[in-house]
Amino acid sequence: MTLIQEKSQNITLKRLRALEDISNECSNLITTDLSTITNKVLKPFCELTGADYGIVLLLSKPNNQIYLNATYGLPDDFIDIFNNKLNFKIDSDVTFASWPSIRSMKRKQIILVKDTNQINVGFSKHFSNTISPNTIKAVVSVPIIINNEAVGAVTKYFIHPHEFNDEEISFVKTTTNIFTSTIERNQLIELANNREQELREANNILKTVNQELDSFVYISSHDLREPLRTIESFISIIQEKCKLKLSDEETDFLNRIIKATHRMRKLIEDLTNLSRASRNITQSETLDLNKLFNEIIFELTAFIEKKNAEISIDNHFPLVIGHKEKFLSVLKNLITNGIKFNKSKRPVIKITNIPEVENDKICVCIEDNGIGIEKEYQDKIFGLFQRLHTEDEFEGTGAGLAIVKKILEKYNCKIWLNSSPNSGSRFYVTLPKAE
Amino acid sequence: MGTILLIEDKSDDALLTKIALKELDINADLIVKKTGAEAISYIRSNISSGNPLPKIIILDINLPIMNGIEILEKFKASNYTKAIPIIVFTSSDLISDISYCYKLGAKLFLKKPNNINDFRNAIKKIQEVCLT
Repeated sequence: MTLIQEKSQNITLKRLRALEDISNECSNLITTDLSTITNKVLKPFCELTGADYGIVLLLSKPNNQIYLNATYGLPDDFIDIFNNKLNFKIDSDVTFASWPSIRSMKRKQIILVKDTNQINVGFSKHFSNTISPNTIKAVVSVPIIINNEAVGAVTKYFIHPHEFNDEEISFVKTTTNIFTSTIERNQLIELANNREQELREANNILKTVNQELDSFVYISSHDLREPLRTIESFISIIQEKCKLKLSDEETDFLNRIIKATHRMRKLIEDLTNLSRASRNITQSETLDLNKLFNEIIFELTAFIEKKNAEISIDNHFPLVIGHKEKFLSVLKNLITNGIKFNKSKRPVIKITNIPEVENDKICVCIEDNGIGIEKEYQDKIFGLFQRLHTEDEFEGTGAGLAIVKKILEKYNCKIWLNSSPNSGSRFYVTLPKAE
Repeated sequence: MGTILLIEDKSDDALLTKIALKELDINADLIVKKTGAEAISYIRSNISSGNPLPKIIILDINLPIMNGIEILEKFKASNYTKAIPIIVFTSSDLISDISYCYKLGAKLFLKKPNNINDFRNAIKKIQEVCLT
């Protein structure tokens, strides 16, 4: 092996090692500060090609300003002066297509100048004032291209004429590729961070709006009750005083008004309940579901008897943790619905524990032999005041499941169902498991 | 039976109270004051002129400026008025309101009803509680 061959092999090895280092360096950097990367990479890049000076120039969108991101071999204040005092824009009068960096960016091609005596090369005034342009004999500039757009260039200057062999060009290109992908990745990270920040902000706004809406509903539902109470009270006086004087038709009109006030009262109460669904959820205690079911059945005794319903409950539910009144409201709603929306001679409700659905949750299934729900309406039933039947068929305002869902959401719990017409429904709810 | 002081800013409820009293043949003078300040100055003028103080005070909670709970606190803190039975008569059904009013010394907490019959029952209840 000749000395030259050995020397060249040595350089190849060094370059490969440098590539490995650069690539490691870049992959380890999770930072949006590009100059950290470029500075770290530029040095070995120049040293291993024998370049005397090097710059990384980047284009900042949208004003097309070009700024220096890193330098090699140039004075420390070079970047500051270039960026802060000179303010170059890519197409302005003071930048020239003869600058190797600009040329490579515009052409999106690597620019090689082996000997400046043969090809004219331009420099910025700042560069010329710092380094006498006559001393530069060779230049290579590689564009940084992202999405088919030049976003910058890496340029190296040699004070001696320089032969660029294939291996060196390959080294330069590969290094620039690493640069490019690092910049690209950093842009993506920055974009993702920005999006995340935007999402967070939007989420906070939504939360505030939701809270405002809750208190609006709470306050307005309370205030709406006052005038309604007055109307109801005075109508009750008219009803008492005029009972015998009114014709059948007039009595009918009066009854319609009374019925409408009752309905309005129910709607307002449901609104109040809905707004209360998300209040005070921090007050939580360990609850025994079997006790809760017994309380509900006791409360519904008259209703259960009237509908000739039968309720069976699993013996052992795991303990749950939460607000007693709210959980009572959830379970009572579901049990009542199973009995109410049921045309069987004997409505049967089966309450079972479904094990191991989620780690920190328990799952309760409430099954009925009722009228069932068509698939296409199964989402609709959770909407506020959404009803699938006329008031004559099944009474109610249609707020029950909306309240249930809202309470469960506050505990990060879920509700879903399996149902088809005439074959009953199975409602599943998850509840937080006690430790 | 003397004077009943009703502290109530809604004239509808004042009228309903008046109707219920009349229908129940309760022979009482109903004095209606719309704010806590008016009620306090009424009590003060009675004290300074030596006129008898009301036998019962019926108090709404949801009042402008000084709310019923603050009025209740004031009356229960004064030697002149602390012995007068105070009935809280309101549309609020907040458990926190109810327990706080009893703690402050309210004789009775009643939710305002929706019809005249319940109104009469409420007034009857007030009469019972205050006369026993």
